[in-house]
Amino acid sequence: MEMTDSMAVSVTALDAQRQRLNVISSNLANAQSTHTPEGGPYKRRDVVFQSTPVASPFQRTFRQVSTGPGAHALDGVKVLRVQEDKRPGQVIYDPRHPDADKKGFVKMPNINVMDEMVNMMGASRSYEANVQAINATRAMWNKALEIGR
Amino acid sequence: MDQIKAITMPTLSRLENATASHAAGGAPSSGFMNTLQQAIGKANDIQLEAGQATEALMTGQTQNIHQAMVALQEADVSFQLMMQIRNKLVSAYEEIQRMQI
Amino acid sequence: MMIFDRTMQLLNRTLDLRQARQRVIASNIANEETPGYRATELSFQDSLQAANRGRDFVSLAVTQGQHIGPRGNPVQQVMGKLGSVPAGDIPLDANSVNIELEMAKMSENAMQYNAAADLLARKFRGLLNAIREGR
Repeated sequence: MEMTDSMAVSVTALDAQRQRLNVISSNLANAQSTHTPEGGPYKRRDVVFQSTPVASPFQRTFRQVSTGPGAHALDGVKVLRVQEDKRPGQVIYDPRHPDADKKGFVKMPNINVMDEMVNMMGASRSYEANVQAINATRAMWNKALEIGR
Repeated sequence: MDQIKAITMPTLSRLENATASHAAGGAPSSGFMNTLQQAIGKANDIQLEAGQATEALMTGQTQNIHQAMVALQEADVSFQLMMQIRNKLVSAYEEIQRMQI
Repeated sequence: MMIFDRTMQLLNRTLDLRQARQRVIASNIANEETPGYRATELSFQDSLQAANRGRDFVSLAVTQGQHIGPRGNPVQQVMGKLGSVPAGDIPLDANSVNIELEMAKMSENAMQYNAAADLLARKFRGLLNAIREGR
């Protein structure tokens, strides 16, 4: 599939940020979930990003770029894995809670809503920035069409 | 480009005949001829380059749109330059023709 | 008399193919929420490149005006190939449309279409210039 290299890179970032947002939404929704099918409270999840070379038909351009001075391949981003946060969550004392243990303590998920909100803003900003990058590519292209008009 | 040659070749051969038969000293007229021929050759080469750059862009071999645009622009300008040279030569020839009896 | 050179024919064909591609992308975007829909794409650049390279223009002369010359340009016969978009993970509703990808593809397609149209217009202008002999 053909696409301008820079746009292909930006699209991978859009994809990755959307998956990150999915995970954040899941965390936020389960901030109070003391019960999971696996037993125990919900464990916070996080995405791990990895830079990955963008598959592109323009290999010739790559070779030119990667042998000249200051050379680097074009890297997009992908979600390597979704990983669980192993840190223990808060343990609160609430004997009336349905999931309270014998001593009346309830293990809450290790989710800090404020942190998740900040991450959500980060993902949203990053998404916007990549959309801007795509728009910039398009604007440059259209500007080139004006040469000699 | 064949169409450029088709348009300009008759004029060139006319000019060549005229200058060959009326030229007193060979140097000035062949200078004009050379200029025009060089200009035509150059314009043709640039047109071919522009065509190649355009095709590379369309078939996805390159993302270099500005290269294609600049090449087309160069082709346009050099073609117009060549045309003006030719037009000036033709009108000079016609003026010389009128000067005959 | 052939005055439209191979580049112009290539540009012409590109416009057709890009328009067809736009339809495919638009239907992908329209079906973003349809359960079970698989995103498709029209690919033609490889076959276009091959068709453009694999021929040197042999324009056979016709002796009578009404004689039809050979089909000539294989570029004109390039049709795109419909394939399905390689999807990452298929979500619960079995819909494989990646909306960001489709939007970016649409943007890119429009850019390429504009470029082809502009280049074709310049070619025509150049031809008119030659015909009017620069006057």
